[in-house]
Amino acid sequence: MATTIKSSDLDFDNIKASLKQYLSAKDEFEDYDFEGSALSNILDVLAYNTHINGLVANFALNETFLPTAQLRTSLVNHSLAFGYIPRSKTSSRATLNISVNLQSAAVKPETITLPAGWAFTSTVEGVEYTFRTLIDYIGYDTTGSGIYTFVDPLGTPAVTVLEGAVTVKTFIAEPGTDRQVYVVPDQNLDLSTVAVQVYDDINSDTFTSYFSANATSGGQVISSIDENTALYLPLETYNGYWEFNFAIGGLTGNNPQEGQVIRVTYLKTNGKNANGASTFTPSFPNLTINNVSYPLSISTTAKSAFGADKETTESIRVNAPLSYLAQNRLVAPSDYRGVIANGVPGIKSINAWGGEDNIPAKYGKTMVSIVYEDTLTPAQIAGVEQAIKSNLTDPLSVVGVEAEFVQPTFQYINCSTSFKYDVSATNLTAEGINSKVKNAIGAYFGNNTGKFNDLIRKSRLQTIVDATDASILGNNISLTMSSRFIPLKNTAGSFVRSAYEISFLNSLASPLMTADESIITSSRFVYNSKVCTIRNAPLHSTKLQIIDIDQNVLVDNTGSYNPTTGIINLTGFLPESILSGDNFISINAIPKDDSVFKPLRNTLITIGSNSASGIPDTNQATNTVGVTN
Amino acid sequence: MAVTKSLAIEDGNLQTPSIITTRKRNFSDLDLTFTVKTTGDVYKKIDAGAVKQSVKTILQTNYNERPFNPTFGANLRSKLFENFTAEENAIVIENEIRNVLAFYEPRAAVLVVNVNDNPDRNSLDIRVEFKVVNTQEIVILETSVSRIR
Repeated sequence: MATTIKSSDLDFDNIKASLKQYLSAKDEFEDYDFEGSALSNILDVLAYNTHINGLVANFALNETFLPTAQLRTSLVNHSLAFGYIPRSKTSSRATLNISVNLQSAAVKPETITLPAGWAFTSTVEGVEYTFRTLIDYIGYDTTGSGIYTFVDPLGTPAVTVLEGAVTVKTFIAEPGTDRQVYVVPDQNLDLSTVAVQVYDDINSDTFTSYFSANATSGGQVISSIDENTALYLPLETYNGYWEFNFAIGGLTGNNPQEGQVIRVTYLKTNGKNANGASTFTPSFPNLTINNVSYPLSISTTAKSAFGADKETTESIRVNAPLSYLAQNRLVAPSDYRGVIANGVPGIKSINAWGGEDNIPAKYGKTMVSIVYEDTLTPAQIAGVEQAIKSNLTDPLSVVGVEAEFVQPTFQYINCSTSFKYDVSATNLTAEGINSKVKNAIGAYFGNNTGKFNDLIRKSRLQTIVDATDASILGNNISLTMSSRFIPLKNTAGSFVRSAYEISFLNSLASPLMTADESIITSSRFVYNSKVCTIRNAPLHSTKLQIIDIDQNVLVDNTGSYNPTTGIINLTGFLPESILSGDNFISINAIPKDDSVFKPLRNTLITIGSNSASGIPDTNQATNTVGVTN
Repeated sequence: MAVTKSLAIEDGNLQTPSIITTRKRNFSDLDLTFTVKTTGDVYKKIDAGAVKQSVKTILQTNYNERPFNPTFGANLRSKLFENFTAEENAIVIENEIRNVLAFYEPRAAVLVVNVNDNPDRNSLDIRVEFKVVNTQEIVILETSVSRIR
């Protein structure tokens, strides 16, 4: 008989039942289990109160820990304990080629300047955005033709413009014993564009620049701090604003003194909404030189990209511990993943591994491969990688270890599904149910591939197919691999004879006896004026042949494949053209084991072909089982 | 010779049976007026009084008033904006009262339900005559429902 009230239940009904159980042991009031009774009313109030308190306690406990916290403010505060500052909203940026024609100028200057803040407008999906330069760009007439081209600090003819409105906040340092924190009430602040300048007074023109203590958001790597170090620490507040903290009493750096003026300048950005801008119009189309206006000539080198919203809560949950493990130093591969993912916006997935684990081994290097959210031009990718090296990996990595970037490669998985279904259990046509299965498989690949370390299991796919429609009774899925290679061309655009090594993720199946089912096949190309493909030769051979569509062998030995290593070697391969209209040839291979595909290093899995064929279920049995003599 | 019957150890408890065939349960509830007695305690409602108070509570409760029990109550006030006709609405309301009491108040066997409109006061007068199952006592409850705003 219960004499105590259980208080661990959260469910209202259980709490009320517990209270009723308690009252059942008492004889003073006996109407507790009639819903209309006054006692039931009071039990409702008590149970409701306990229920709410229980939920609040549960939520509060969940918010106490990084892995279970749900509120952004909780995750941000937890990440502070890891020394991690979540990434702010980030401006979209584009690269322009800007030049000015001064051929008509009487006096040609040595250099011309495009000042910081020069604005350009562009429209994305019907919305106009303003981009601007953040630094002065110097223009040179390198050819002597009178055309001046603006270059970046590295000398590259590229002007980077960032989306956003220049915003200035001014604070006066006040006396007092309390620590003063300067709050910028703007959720759209781009932390990487913040400039903090401290003036002696409101009328002063001279200032001291303070730098961010957060190296991954435009700050500097801190090697030592003394009372003269001019640094600030930006922190996200509970409501998504940003606050700027300075040193306390000079112990951890220089702090603004009473009466000094703190000026915070930053870009107020629209984040990822401004990505994709390709045509830029200057707000002021002319540049004035020696009191004469000259029109700017602008072309877009790289359309706008890298605009991003604030770091998501799930990203904070993953990256904060990684950042703590890295300790702002790049030692282990996971350090590179955490630090780069925090410091660079627009990264969809990143992988890093030691050069000693690379094939071929590259000692003294850390290999990094990145998949970006947007489709970027090679010039943009090169620019980002250069920025990562100069701002993050070079200053933070172990001496003698250099980061090397590797482009992601894709292992295409071809999915061929046959399934049995009960015709009487569905209203779908054969085409309809085939399409439904194909869409389900496509959705599975869409949700489970595209990032490093995303793997595909055949058993999961089979479960998905079985669950696609109630009429499906069973399925059989065959998974094969495709790798693509682009045949080499000479400068005239003609293919040249060359050797190729094509690697596959898994080991390949051993060759079969017949030519009916080859382990290796290819997409079509033209060779000797005939439509041809590649296959491995019959009779258990790993030799590769070029055959025409009538199965005639045109080249008996154009290479071989190694089932164990999963590598195909083509020698002296010279196609005349590619039939698919693409610029690549696909080599298809049957794996030794198609139960799981788990990518390594810079490989990602993506779907190749996807076919589904439903067969109405019929009894396949032809006999009863038995023995006669 | 006397015969002594013995039971196995496992069946030993059968020798001391205490079988209750009927059990009279008293009804006792808090008085919702919370009137204080001279002792400082609050009054109780017992037996027919407790059932009557419960019936009144059920009639005066609308849907969604009770936490986690949204369909508790007779939901009578929702009928106040209906065009009232004795032939139709009164019968509907009477049936609903019988149903809700049968479901939520098994201690009351409803005998008669009368619903009359009171247009001058924009209210419905309700008279429920029921028998307390335990005691066979017949109780008459008269109440009215009106919109409070």
